[in-house]
Amino acid sequence: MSLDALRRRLPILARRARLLREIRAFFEARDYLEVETPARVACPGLEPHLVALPAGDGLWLRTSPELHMKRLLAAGAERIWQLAPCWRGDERGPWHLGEFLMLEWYRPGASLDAILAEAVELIRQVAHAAGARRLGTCDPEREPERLTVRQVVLRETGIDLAEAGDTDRLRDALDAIGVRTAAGDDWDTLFFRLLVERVEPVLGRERITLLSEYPASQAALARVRDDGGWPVALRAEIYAGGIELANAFDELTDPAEQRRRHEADRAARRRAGREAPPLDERFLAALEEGMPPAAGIALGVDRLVALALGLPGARDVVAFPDEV
Amino acid sequence: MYETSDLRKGLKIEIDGEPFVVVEAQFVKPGKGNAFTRCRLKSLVTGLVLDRTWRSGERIDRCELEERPMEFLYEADGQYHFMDTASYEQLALPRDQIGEVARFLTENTQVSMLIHRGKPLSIDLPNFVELQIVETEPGIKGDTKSNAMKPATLSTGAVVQVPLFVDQGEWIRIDTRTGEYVERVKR
Repeated sequence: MSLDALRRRLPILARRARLLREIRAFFEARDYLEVETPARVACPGLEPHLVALPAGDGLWLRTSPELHMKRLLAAGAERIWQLAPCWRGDERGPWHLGEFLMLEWYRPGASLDAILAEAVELIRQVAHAAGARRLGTCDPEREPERLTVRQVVLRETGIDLAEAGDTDRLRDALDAIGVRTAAGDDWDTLFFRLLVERVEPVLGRERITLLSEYPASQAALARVRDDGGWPVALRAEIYAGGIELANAFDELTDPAEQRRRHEADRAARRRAGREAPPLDERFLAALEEGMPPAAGIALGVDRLVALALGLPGARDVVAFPDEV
Repeated sequence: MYETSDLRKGLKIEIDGEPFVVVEAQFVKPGKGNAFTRCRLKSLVTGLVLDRTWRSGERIDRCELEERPMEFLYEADGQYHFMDTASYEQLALPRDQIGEVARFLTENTQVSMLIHRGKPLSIDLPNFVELQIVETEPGIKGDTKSNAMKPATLSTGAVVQVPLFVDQGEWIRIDTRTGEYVERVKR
């Protein structure tokens, strides 16, 4: 990037810095402790579709600060928050940076609803500080729309996911409404095709959408509720203007279930030919000692800043867009 | 074969044997989900636009296109006939595949033809062509200042706007990208 182009970017960086100060003020006013955890980790996120980048010494650049922050909770930390640069390989687009700024915070004893409500307040405060009345097409001041995944898929596509639990049935359902599928698509991939093509574009269009109750297979590190029939992950995403801003969990604290999921993720990664870093035994040991029930949430700061400043993508709010 | 990471604006690909150009490509990846590339594609045969989403890991067929210099021969029944002056091979395209520039084609116009598996898809005219005015109101001598324009019919039948001082029988240069008059030329 030429110095001229950089010079033209300076005003945006100043506005970004102003919004970061607003975020800091938000957490200070709520008695949160700001923490810092290592950027190089022994175990990056193990979710099958994450690509972690090696960082030397057998370590990886973190894809999220999650495991270290949970160890702090197990040690008795109360409300904690962190602004954490994170890295993900093979993710590059106007709304995806290979190096991005994650805002992550945890509240022991809080419900998923409580942390979602807090995130909506933060989004509003940042939008207000930017003088933005809209985030894309979305009015953040309006009461958020609450939807479950099953509800919104049914509304937008006519497909009831609970009735399409196996891969063949979901594939037939996609064929019937003209969503293309490919050989080798598993159930989750078919679900994400549906989400990407038919559902995401309408999420958060007029007001913030809180999308909850994901299929249990996509629980990641969230608890699962299985009351017969359609087991769901106690996980929610926040959308504004069609853009996914944040992901919240009612955190899984059961060490045996956590170990089982990590092993399953590692097996899935090996099948897909991806690297499968070892389990984080220190994290699992912390869960064994006891992590309190907690809600946690991770929010993409670059995306929020871009929406608040009315810019076309997350790439437009960093100093060196061609290099991240 | 291309990978999804190769997909970007302007890339030419093939789907079930039909050539397309990528008009727009966007990387998307829902939380905890697969990476996808959402594309808007334009058919190089019909010009129709469609959306297509590929999962990361899918392969996309390459599109082998040939660009050949050709010469315009004649139009008959809406078909425009061209000849490869090296091989004398003749190929024809219907009017809708040629587009607006068809009105500037005249015998011997050199064009570049895009060919896919032996089938012509489209032609590119030179950026500028010279054509004769066959009909326009008499020129107003010396009026080179005013911006006023008048219609003029060219030898190909095309009607373009020209300045008032231009006369019937004169040759003019046309910008084929905009369809606008550029200047008078001496022939």
